[in-house]
Amino acid sequence: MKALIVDDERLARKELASLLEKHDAIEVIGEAANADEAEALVAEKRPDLIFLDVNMPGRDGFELLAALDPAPQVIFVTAYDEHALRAFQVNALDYVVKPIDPERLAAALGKLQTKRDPDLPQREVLHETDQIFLKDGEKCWFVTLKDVRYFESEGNYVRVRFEDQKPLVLRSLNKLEEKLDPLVYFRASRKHIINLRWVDKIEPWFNGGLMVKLKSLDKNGDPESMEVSRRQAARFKDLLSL
Amino acid sequence: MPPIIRRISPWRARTIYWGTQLLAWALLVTVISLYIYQDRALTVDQLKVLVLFYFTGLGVSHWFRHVIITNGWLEQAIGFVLPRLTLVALLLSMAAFLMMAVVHDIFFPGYAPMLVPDPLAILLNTINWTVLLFIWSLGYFAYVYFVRSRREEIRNLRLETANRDNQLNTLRAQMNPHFMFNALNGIRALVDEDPEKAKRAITQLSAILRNAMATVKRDVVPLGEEIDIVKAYLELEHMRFEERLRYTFDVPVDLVREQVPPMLLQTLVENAVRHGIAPLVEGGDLHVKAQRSADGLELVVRNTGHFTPGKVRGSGIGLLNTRRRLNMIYGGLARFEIVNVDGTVESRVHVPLRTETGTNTLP
Repeated sequence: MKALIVDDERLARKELASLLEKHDAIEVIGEAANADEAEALVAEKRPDLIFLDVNMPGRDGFELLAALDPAPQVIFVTAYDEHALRAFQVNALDYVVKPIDPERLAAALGKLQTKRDPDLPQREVLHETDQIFLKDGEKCWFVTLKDVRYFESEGNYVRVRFEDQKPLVLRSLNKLEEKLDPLVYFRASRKHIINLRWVDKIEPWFNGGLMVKLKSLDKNGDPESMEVSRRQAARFKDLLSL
Repeated sequence: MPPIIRRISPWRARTIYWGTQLLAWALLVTVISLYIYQDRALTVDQLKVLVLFYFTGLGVSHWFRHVIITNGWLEQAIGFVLPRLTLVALLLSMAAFLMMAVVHDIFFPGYAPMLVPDPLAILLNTINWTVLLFIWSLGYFAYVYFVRSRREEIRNLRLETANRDNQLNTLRAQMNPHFMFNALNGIRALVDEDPEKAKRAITQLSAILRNAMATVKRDVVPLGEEIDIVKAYLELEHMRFEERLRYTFDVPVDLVREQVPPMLLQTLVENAVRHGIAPLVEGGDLHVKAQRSADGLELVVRNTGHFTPGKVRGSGIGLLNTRRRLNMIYGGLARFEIVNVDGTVESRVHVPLRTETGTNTLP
C-alpha cells in the first residue's frame, strides 16, 4: 500500500516514517511539508493512504482533503487539538495522536481497507464506491458516493444530499459532472445531478420533461422528487433503456 | 463569580415547618395527658381542654414566628433580640391565656370559669406560656442557625472548588498541550537522529514544566528567569519549526533583576509563534526586547505577520487574560497593546517598576 506523509515538521515526518518501517504492507512513497506539495504528490504518485497532520501553515489538513477527488484513505495525525477532533464526530475517521503510540498506529493500519483491486485500470472518473471528503464550516464528512442521492446547485456552491445531511461545498455542478461516473450519476437539469440507484419512479411532466421520484422521503414524508428538463429527458430514456 | 446556592424550595420549607409544629405540640399534649392519666382516667372534658390548648399553642407560636420574621430578628445580634423576644413572649403569653380562657368559658359553661379576677392565677398561667414560648423559640432559632451554617459550609466548599479550578485552568493554559505533545513527538525523533540534542530538549521541557507549576504560586519573578523560560520554549519550538522560526533577543543585563509577572512575556511569545509564525509556510522572524522607559519597563515581542483582531480563534481569550492579569496586579498602571508595524506585529507591555527590592510578592 502506497502511503504519503503530510506534516509541516521534518522531525514529525521522520518519526512517523521510522515507525512505519516496521509495517511491510506500507510503503512510504513521499513526504510533503504543506498542502500544495501534498496535492502535487497525490496527483503524481496516487497514494492509497495519506497520513495527514491537521495543523499546517497555509491550507490545513481538512482543506487539503476537500480538494482531493477521490479522497484517499486517511489517517489523521495530530498533537492535541480538541477543535480538530470535534470534527470527527460526524463520521468515523481514524486518527492517531502525537507522540505516536506504535500499537495505536498498528490498530489504525489494521482497520484500513485492503488495497484497491489492482485489476481496475486507473480511472479518471469517480466510481460509486469512491469516497469524497466534504467540509462545510466546522463540520467534515467522509461520504461514499453511492450514499449521495443527488447534488443540487446553489449559486457557486453545491449542496450534497446524503442520509439526513446536506453540507454546502464550494464546487461547480459542471466540474462535478465531468468527474462522476456517467452511468450512475445523471445530470437531470441545470440544478441537479441524480444518483440513478436511488430512482424509484419516473413520471411524465410538462413540456416533455420528466419527474423523477427517489426512494428517499423528504421531511413531509413524500418521496424526494426533481424535474428532468426536456433536453435531458431524451438522454435519460436512452440511458435507462440500456 | 459567586457560586449558586440551591435554596430549600418554599414548599419544602413550609412542609418542614408545619410538620414539626403539629408534631411538637401534639407531643406536648400527649405528655400532659399521660401525666394526668397517672392519677386518674382522662375525662372527655379534660380532652376538650387539651384540644383547645393544642390549637392555642399552634396559633400563638405561629404568631410568634411571624413577629420574629417580620422584624428581621433572625439577622440581629443576640443582645438586641433577647429583650425584645422576652417582651413579645410575655405579651403573646398573656394573649394566649386570654384567648384560651375566653373560648373555654364560652364553650364549656358547666365548668369553673378560667377567666377569674385572680392576679396570681393569671400570672402563673402567663408564666407557663412564656416558658413554653421560650423553649419554642430556642428550637426555632437553633433550627434556622443549623440550616444556615450548613448552607454556608457548602458555599465555602464551592468557593474553594472554584478557586482550585481556576488554578488548574491557569496551569493547563501554561502547559499548552498542543506545544507539549508536539515537542515530545519531536524529541522522539531526535532520540535516533541526534541523542545529545534530544537530551537537551528534555531538560528544556522539564524547565518549562517546572516553571509552569511554580508560577501558580508566585506573583512576580525576576525578568531574567522569565527570559530563560522563553529561551527554552523558543529552542524547543525551533526543534520543530527548524529554519521556519528565527529569533533574537535584546535584553540589557541591568534589567534581569527587575520583577515582572510570571508567564507574561511567555504568553506573548507563544501567541506570536502560534498565531503569527506557525501559519506562515515560509516561517518568520521573532524578536524579544526589554527596555527601560521613563516610568517603568517595556517588553516588546515583534513577529512577522499581520494582526487582525478577532480573526484567530482563541487568541482573543489569551489577550483578554493578559489584560485582566495586568489589571489585577498593577491596577490601571500597566499598558498593553498589539499593533501592526511594517509587515510585523508588535505586542507591547508596559509595567511600572517598583523601587524597593527584596520582596517577592506585591502588596
